[in-house]
Amino acid sequence: MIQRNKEEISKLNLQIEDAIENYPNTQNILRAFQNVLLAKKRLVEGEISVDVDVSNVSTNRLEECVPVCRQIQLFSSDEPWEKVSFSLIPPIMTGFPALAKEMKKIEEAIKNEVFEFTEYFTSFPELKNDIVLKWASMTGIRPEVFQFFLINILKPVLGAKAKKAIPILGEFTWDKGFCPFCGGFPEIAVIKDKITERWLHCSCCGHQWRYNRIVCPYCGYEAKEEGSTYFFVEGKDQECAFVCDQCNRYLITLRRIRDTHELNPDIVSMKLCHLDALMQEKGFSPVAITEWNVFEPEVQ
Amino acid sequence: MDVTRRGFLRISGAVGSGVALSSLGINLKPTKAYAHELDKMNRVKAAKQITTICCYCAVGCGLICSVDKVTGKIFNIEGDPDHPINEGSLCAKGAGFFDLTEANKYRLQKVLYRAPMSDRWEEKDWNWAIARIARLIKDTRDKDFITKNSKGQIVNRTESIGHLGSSNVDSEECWLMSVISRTMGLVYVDHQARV
Repeated sequence: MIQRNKEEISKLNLQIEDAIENYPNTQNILRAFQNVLLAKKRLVEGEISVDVDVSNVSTNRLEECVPVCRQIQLFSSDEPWEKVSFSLIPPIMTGFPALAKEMKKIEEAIKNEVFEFTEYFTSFPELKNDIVLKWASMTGIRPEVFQFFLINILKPVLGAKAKKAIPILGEFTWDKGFCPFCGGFPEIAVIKDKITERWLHCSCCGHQWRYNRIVCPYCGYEAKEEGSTYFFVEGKDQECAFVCDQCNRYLITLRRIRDTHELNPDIVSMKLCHLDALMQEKGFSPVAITEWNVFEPEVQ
Repeated sequence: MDVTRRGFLRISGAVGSGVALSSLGINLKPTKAYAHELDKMNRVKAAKQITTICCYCAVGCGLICSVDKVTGKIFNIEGDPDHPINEGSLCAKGAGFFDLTEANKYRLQKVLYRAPMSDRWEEKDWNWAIARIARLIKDTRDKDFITKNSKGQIVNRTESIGHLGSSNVDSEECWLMSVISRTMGLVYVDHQARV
């Protein structure tokens, strides 16, 4: 197990280095997230133990497109929020030196049991922004930094739960553009080689599911007659951004990929963030907002 | 629990509420500059993905064509994984579909004629070719046309001409060819419809 984790971590590191070599423009982003991604991977792969009771999840309701998070409460009072926080604060401090002071304050506050994480996360997926604002003002931390921290501690726990729960649920039909486990939207899509199925990767829990090639995962619009538009950089048509003319959303997509298991969707999404910048410049919004795909418009 | 689409849309918004990296101290200028440069150099291309049906045989497999939005030309054809008939797979003929488009540089674009006993091809125009084919067909048919068989029954057939369809002939063309062939009384009509 330890050996396998080491191999996984080393693979992840190689993918990051490879991405930086091919897209030097993403160096700032990938280096900032490098240690955070590695820490998250370690957490999901077994450093944290999570429980998820799916005995009350009905496959029939799944078939009716009601995701797991809407059928059961995903988080209980004994989730490892503190452990995840203490594992992620150091890499966030290293990757984001500008947040070091605020991360230190969060660390102190957690030690002093200032935050009631259970209160916040048990309301998932309806997370309450007023709690974030309250905690942020209590500790003197910018709300956006607190939000960033909370997203980062949520994802590995959600990922570990999805990894545990999905195999127990068995096979079911799912034809929606949001995740059957946590209800999150996809951060990237991958179109396989040969039989060119499109697989969506959840931006929250990392689960992947198959989805129709010409239907928008955000609004469900099927571009049958006029066709679905996509943009790509000349000479790199494997990497593209599909757009929906109805809802003006886009989804970064990798085409003709042989082995989807080797891909880390977060790294792929980060290395292709020039496509995010291009699409946002054209007036489109991402299907899923992640920690790295929000580009503010240039101030003229 | 009542679940609405609007409710679902809130989930992702709540989890990933957009925090711009620049506000977290990360310099995004290199990525913005790279994107800007690509756009300025006109290297960002737009294409459309359109679903269609294979024209070859009666199975009716689904295809996805990628079309350049500026030139309107097809640059990729693949099986449609969401089509209930073929689920993304294609036969050898379907898989070679792209070679039927004008993107195939080996595709014949002019009439080539090899005279009897000649060892070389000559370029000819369509008017010459159509007139010559019509003449040869008419002469052969007139020479060998059989109106009655040995039992005195009316048959109106031409046994000295056969028609062989190519594997690149689609269903509609097949129908047209078979109608033309039978109108002329041909009885030897064949076609390679499936692989």
